[in-house]
Amino acid sequence: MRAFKINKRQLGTVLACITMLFVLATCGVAGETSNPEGKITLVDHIGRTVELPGPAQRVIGTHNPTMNMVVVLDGNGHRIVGFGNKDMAFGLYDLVAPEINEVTQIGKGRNINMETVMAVKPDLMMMPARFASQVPQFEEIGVPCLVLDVEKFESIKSALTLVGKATGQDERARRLNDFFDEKIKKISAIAEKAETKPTVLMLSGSSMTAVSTDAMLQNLMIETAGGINVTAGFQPDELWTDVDIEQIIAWNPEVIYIPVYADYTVEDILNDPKWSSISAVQNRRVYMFPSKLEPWDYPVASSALGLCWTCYNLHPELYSFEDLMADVDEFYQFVYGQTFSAERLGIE
Amino acid sequence: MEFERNRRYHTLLTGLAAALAGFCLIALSVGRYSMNPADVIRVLVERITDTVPSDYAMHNVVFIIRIPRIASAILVGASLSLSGAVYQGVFKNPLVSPDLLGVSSGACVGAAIAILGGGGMSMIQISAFAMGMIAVSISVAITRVLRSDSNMALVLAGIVTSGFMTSVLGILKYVADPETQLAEIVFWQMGSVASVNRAQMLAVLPVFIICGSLLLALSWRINILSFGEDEAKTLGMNVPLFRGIVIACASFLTASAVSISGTIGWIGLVIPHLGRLLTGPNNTKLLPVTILLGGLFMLIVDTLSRAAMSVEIPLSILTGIIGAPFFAWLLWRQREAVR
Amino acid sequence: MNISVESLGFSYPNGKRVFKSLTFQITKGRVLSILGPNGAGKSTLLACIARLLMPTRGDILFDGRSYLRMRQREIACAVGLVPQDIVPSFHYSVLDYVVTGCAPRMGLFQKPKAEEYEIAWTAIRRMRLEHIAEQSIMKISGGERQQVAIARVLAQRPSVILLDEPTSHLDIGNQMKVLSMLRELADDGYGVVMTTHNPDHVFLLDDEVAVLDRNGNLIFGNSHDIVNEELLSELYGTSLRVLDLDEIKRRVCIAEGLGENGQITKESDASEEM
Repeated sequence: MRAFKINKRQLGTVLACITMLFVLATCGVAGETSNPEGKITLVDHIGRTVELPGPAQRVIGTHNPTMNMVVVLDGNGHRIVGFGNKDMAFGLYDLVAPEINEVTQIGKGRNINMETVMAVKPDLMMMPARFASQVPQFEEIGVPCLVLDVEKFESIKSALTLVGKATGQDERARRLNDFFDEKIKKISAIAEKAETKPTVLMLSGSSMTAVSTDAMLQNLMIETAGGINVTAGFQPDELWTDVDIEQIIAWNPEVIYIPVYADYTVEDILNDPKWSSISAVQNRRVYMFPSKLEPWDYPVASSALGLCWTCYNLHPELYSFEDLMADVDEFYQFVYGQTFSAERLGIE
Repeated sequence: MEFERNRRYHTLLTGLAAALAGFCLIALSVGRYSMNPADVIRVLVERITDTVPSDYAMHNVVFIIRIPRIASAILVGASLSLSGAVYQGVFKNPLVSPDLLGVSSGACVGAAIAILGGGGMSMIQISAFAMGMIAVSISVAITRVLRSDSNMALVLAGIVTSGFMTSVLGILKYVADPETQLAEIVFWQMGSVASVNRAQMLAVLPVFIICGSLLLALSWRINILSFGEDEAKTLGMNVPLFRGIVIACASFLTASAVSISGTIGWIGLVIPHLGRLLTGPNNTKLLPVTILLGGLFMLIVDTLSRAAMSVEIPLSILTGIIGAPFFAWLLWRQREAVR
Repeated sequence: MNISVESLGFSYPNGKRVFKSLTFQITKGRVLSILGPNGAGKSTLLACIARLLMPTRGDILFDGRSYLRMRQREIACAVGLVPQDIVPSFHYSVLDYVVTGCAPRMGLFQKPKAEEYEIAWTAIRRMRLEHIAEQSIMKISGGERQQVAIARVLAQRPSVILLDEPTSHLDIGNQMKVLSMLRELADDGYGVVMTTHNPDHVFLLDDEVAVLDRNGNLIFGNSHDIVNEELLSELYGTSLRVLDLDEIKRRVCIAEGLGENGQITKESDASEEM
């Protein structure tokens, strides 16, 4: 039997061929992803690197403010295939994105049904930082997660940018952020000119005696718009904080805001004898923070409008009702292609 | 001898009443809205003489916020202690608490039902009271079914009812919304007089006055009940009637207290013991002392809870932290008896 | 007040009959011993007289009035019961305990005043318990507790005093003291009824006796007339002698002796073993 002899050259050729095939194969894969029209790389708010093969087309989420990013960037809800909190959805969606009502419910908070999730075949899950522990569950079934930690203006703008990138709406994200910057600048300038800055207290939705703190968007809005937070420096690391009614009496705010999603009403506060000695109650400067269609004190894009409204409420002589509605109309026209009346929005 | 004893007792009673009044003044001065006792007295005087308040905010804080809370704390403490002392007499057992017949567990179920139904404070109060009394009725009904009149039967029936109510509460907690309702139920269970308003307090005041007076009037007869059913009968007492009245009064008192404050343990068990240490087991002396002691104790605990820390600690936690070791000390003191 | 027991019968709710039809009198100034073996129903009988238990047939007449419909208070004014054991749960003082004897005559909401305490003190002095009047009833001895119970019954000022096995836990000295005191109480004018299973006590007291056997039958009369050896041997299933002893000038009842190998023998084998 003749020995099978391979000389060096033959071996070299074979190896070269194998290597080339290998390179081609990996190149073929890489080629797909290194296509500039395709792969997107992001770093989310908790420092995770998120890689998407292309703009996400089938987005799911359970947290309303984060989902709202997608809705404002698209101007509709078509990209959303799974949602978790139908009862928490904004009333606005009935008008601009009714399709969201039909979206599959995937569960709430900690009770997400992974089988339902798999059934809708999502390509992106958006979640708030406090549920970041759920990320491994989604990664296990191959769904990339974008974790967002939105509270104040900076984080809202950054979230818009990230979501814009993830969905291929970079341009709209940029325009929205410009709108934001422009309003912040304008309102801050007006606030500078104000002669007096009233003291303001913002209450929580679930309890009349839980108050907003420096850690929250609400305090930032009030301060930027030319008000003084009675809770400045109070429990600055906590979010909504329970206080004694006596503490509120001691603070004696001149203005009180309650959220539109509160379990109680402005009348409840005005009629409660415990509150009767407070300046804001005596002067009936207790207001519901707009809007009836969507809360402008949530960390979403329309918080820019919340900022504008606060300035109108505190300094109407410097920033009038017409000025406010002009900015409001500008925003909604751009985002949804329609405008809403002041009554609809609950602005007095 | 008799005179000596009575004088000592009257001194004790006066001392307790004075301590209660004194601490009321302190409690009125304590709170986030800062005030000193002089301010408090001025506000009170203004009210009595019907002059226009010099400081409207201070006036409101005293009359609308602090006084209802202080009055509620005293009422709750006095009610729970009195009914505890009475239960201990009727059941011949110093280790019994007012929860024996299931009032507290029933009240929890009532409150949970109201919370799940989205009810406000009044709804919760009414529901808790009703369910508490229903639980007692169930215990009594069980003894009728067992066709037994004895104390043992009541105790066993109470165990059954409490157990049943606790299970129902578990179900209610399970279906409650974990974000809002569950927290509210648990918080109610832990006991607080922080959000009691005047209307709620006034609603239970008549119960306290009527049932309290009745029990005080019958206090000597409760001594006889505590000898046991047979001995009480041989002394001419209609035992089922008396026992029924006494238990009903004590149950009403407990249900009222729990309906405004949530469940607070240990007071009904520990304060009567403390009272016996001070004045002996004779109910004619013990019951008034227990009422004052209970009111004072609850007032101190509630004032501590709202003043000492920035976050209010629920009352039943504080009474447990104080009550349990104190009870252990009591047992140690009487260790020969326990052995 | 004369108490007349008429055809009294009692059966437990489960049907077990204790006694069928008992008839006898309780007379003021006399001591009535209810004699019988264990389980005969002596305590049940006392409970019926005090109406702690409701008889299933028959009646008891208090000065001719039926007691079936009387209020518990009325019965308590006429009859006082000293139970066999008192197990107190609280540290009431002896004085506070004794004064509760006044309860049947007090108003519903009344508390004891000087008058009631005076009655209690009288009873305490009568029983010679002044030295422990301020002590807790849980801390005195069993014998003292029994005397306290008697003091309370005296504070009740009844016509008839019932005592359930008053000598059962006592040593011989205390037994004699108690029996003497029962004699004194009868001399004071009370009608005294006590249960016992010791036949010699009957002769010591030398007064009326009602013998209750295990079948629920009762024989009533004077001790000398009724209690004889035949009756006793049927009652207790053992050989007892009834003798008139000159040395102590009284009739006694005494055991014959133990048999061989510890067995109890009978002279006559006429009756069956019980």
